[in-house]
Formats: sequence, structure tokens, C-alpha cells
Amino acid sequence: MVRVSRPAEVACAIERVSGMSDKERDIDRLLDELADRTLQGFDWDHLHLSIVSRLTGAVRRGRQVSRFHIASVVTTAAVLLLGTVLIYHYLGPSLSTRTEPTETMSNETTSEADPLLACTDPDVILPRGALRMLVSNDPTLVPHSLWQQTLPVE
Amino acid sequence: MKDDNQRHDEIVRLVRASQAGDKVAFDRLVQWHQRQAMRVALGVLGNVDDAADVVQEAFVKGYLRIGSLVFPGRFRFWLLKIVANEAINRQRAARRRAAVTKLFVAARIRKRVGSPDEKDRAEDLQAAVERAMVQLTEKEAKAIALFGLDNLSHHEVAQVIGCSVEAARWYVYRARQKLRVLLREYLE
Repeated sequence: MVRVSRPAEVACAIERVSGMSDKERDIDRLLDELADRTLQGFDWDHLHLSIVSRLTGAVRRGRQVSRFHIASVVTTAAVLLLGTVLIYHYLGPSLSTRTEPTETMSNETTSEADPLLACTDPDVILPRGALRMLVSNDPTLVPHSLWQQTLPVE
Repeated sequence: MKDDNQRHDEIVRLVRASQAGDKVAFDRLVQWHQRQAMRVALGVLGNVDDAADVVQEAFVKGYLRIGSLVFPGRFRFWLLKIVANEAINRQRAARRRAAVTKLFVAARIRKRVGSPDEKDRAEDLQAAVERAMVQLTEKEAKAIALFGLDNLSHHEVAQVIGCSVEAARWYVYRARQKLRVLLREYLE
């Protein structure tokens, strides 16, 4: 009894059972004969010359590409430099005379401006409809105590 | 054995020289490996013209990429892998043309049914193999083509295909089974 578990073993087992040995693989012989017949009288020198010709062409194209690459990089850099010079030439004076803003509008809110921020009493905060996370160093405060408050019904 | 070692050392030297830009060295590598490369391409494609084209393309790619070859001693597997992949890519295109080819070949066979001589039979066989190879999966086609090479062990075939030895044996087995069915009229 033949016990197999893997595909390759299955293949080998089938070959063993069917009696197909390495020498009896007719399909291999057929393919070999066809390859021999096809390559009989094949012009290997011509193939070699064709390969050399293609290699020469590929190397030449590679050099051309690399020259084109260098030329395109140089041209791009020159155009960018010229553009920068022209922009500075035409817009430079107006850019340099532009005045800096004298005032800035502040949108920061400090505790002095908003007394609510300074207040930590939930009874004061919640009825006004504001709910804020407040940092406190008071050890007596229970964590999340603010979130456990119920909103007053208006 | 001594000759094999000398040849291996010579290949390593030629690959290193090619990596340094020596075209003559690469030319020598081409001369040494073109027959095996042709055999693999022909095994996958079944058509000598396409195979020759694929081999040329593979050598060009090999030359342009030889700098990336880390182990010069593995040049042969590396090159055959490029050849096999190129052949498979060409086969994909052939697969798209398969329907048209099938009609053309069928018409040609009908025309010759009267007295097929040896040459016609050989051409028909080549066309049949070409069509049969298209029916195989990529790995099956690669495996059966590489197994036909002399001096290439199962382990080396597996290395070229990029799979385990067991898997390579399985692909060869499947390819043989399929080809036996597809080419049965030529096996009798």
C-alpha cells in the first residue's frame, strides 16, 4: 500500500504504480526530438550576432537617455533660476516695501476675560449650559464627578 | 569534475568583468549560454523564431541588470530565469493570438490531409506543441522546458522557477500529463 500526502509524492507514486519510469517518458522524448529537429542547422552565429547587435543598440540608447536626462535637469534648473530672477525683478520692490501688520487680533480667551473659566463649581457652570473639562489639583474632588452630574431641567 | 570547476571559476571571472563593464567578457558568456537559453525558450514557446527573439531580449536584459547579480556563480540560473520569464511573457501574448492560430492551423491540416509528408508532419507537430504549451500554466511550462535541459537537476530547476523541489516535480508531472493528452495523436 502506498501512503502519500503531498502533490509531489502523489506524482511519484502515480509514476511508480503506472510503471512510467524516467526512460519511458514518451512526451519527453517527443519534445526532445522536436527541439533537436528544430535546432538542427540553426544558425548560432547569426543568433550571437543578433544578440551583440541588440546589446550595442541598448547601450547606445542608455547613453542617449542618460545624456537627455542630464540635459533636461540642467534646462529645468536654468528655467527655474530665470523665473525666480524675473519674479524678483518685477515684484521684488513691492514685496520689500510691504508694511508689516501693526496689530494682531487676539482670539484667545483668558480667565480674566471669562470668569466662568475660573469657576470650578458645577452648580454655577451647568445651569448656564456650559460643560468644560477643568483641571484641578484638589485631591478631594472625585474623578469624573462633573460628568456624573445631572443636567437641571429647565 | 576538474573541468567543471575550472569552467565555474571562469564564469565567475567573466561575470565580475562584465559587471565592471567588460563587453568582451559578456560576449563570451553569451556564447557559452545561448544554446541552453534557446532550448528553454523553445521549450516554453515551441516556436524557433519567437524563441530566438526571446533569447536576444533576455541577454540584453541580463547585460543591463548584471550589476544586480550578487553571486556570480549563479549566473546560469539567473540568466535562465530571465529567459523563462521573457518566454512566459511572450506566451501570454501568444495566448491572446491562440484563437486565430487555431483556426489557421486547422485549415492547414485539413488542406494536407491527403498525403502528409515528413516535413508537413514535423511542422504540424511544432504547431501542435506551440498550441499545447499555451494550455499549460506558467510554472508548468517553465518546469517542463527546464527539465529538458542537460545537466540541470531538480534542485536547480526549482531554483530557477523559484519554488521547492517537490513543487517543481509536481509542475513537471502535471505538464507531462497535460501534454500527453494534447499531443496524443503524435505519440502513437
